[in-house]
Amino acid sequence: MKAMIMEIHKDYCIVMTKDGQFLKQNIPAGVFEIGDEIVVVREYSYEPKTIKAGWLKSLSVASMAVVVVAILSIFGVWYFKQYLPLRNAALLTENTTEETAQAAAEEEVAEEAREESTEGTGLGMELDRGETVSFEKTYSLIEEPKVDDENINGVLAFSYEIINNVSLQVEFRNISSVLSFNGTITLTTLFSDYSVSQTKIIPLDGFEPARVEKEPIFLKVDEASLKLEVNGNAY
Amino acid sequence: MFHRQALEDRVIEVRNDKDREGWLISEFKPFIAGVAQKRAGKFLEYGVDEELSVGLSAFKEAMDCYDKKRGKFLSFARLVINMRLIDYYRKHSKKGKEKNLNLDDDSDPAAGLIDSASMEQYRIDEENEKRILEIMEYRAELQKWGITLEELAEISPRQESLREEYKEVAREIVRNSFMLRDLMRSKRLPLKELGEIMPLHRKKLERGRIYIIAMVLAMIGNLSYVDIRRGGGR
Repeated sequence: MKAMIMEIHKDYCIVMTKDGQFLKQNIPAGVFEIGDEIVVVREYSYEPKTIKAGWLKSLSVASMAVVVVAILSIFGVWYFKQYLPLRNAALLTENTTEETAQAAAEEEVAEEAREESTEGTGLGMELDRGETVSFEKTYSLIEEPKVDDENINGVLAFSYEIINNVSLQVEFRNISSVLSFNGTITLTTLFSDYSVSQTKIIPLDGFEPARVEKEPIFLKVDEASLKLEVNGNAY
Repeated sequence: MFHRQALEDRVIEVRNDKDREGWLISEFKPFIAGVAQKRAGKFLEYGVDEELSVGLSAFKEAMDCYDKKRGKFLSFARLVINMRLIDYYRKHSKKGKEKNLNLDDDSDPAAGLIDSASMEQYRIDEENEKRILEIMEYRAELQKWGITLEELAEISPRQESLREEYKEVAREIVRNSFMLRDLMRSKRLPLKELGEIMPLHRKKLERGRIYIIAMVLAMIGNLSYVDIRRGGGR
């Protein structure tokens, strides 16, 4: 079948046959000129080397996609790590609610027992009724990841513990046998440069003996210390 | 539409018009590349290979000094391009690049241009020149429709019967001046009219749109190589 060279490319020529068929022929540039007539051989029809290249291309694109996703995931985790405590907050809050209910029940039992044992004795009073309770201290969270029963004027005991490096479980107990506490607890977390990160105010009104108050604080990156301020009255 | 004017007249006419001269040169870039590639015996790329710059300036030189007495323009241009390339290779005289060079020709290239023997040589290829001109014009016309030869090679029907059906559609359009005018104006196949005349499904016509248009352009452009008769080319 005769055909005419219509266009010349680097590796092939486009030819047109007499019956109007356009074909790519495996004839490299430099052999014929446009307009030259050739005999078309079916075996020499041009098949672009795209099948293997196509696979390679797809594979490389897929690999690139995997690498990009991996990098984004790593950076994503790194970036959102500081917000992870928020996710734990809900869990801990639920736990806290359950714990509070349990503590309240225990407290009632303890109250009844206490009333029975100490009725009218007046023993165990460190402060007089109506006296001011004031306390301030800063704790290094790095050096002291856990503090047990810090005595606050013989009325309150303060404890904290860092849990899983993401949250700070703070606990107040009324250690007085007869005095209740009325006031506020201010907890401030500080960054390593001592700038304020977050402040939590816990009002304790009618905080009776043996009652326990637990509060979670979710730590942020670079928070290094905790400042405790207690202001109130014992009555 | 196709140029009804002879290339020789166009060459003379555009000499003092830089823009039209540039358009004509770019229209014949594939021809220039073809001649230069055959001379070099390798693929050449515009903007990369210096031989094509030589070819372009040789084509421009041929346009400037062409005279109708010298016969067909393309033969003359080919001769000038070949001469300038020989000149170029002599200057650079790099081994291996000159495998197709006829360096036995000791005559001065410039003098060769007006040599009557050379004139006779390009007259012999007159039929071939006509084909090149037709291809260049056909290619330029396809470009106006946004169709490339590469695309045609991809979509050209392999089945002879289907090809024949599409050619018949093209013939029908060319025969019917209303449909031809409609096609040229809207650049869309007159599917409704064709549907009334020809027993071909609309989808089939739409699938063959580019090929049908290419065949219409070949027919109205008198692309002599294609046998447009019914069952032609078998």
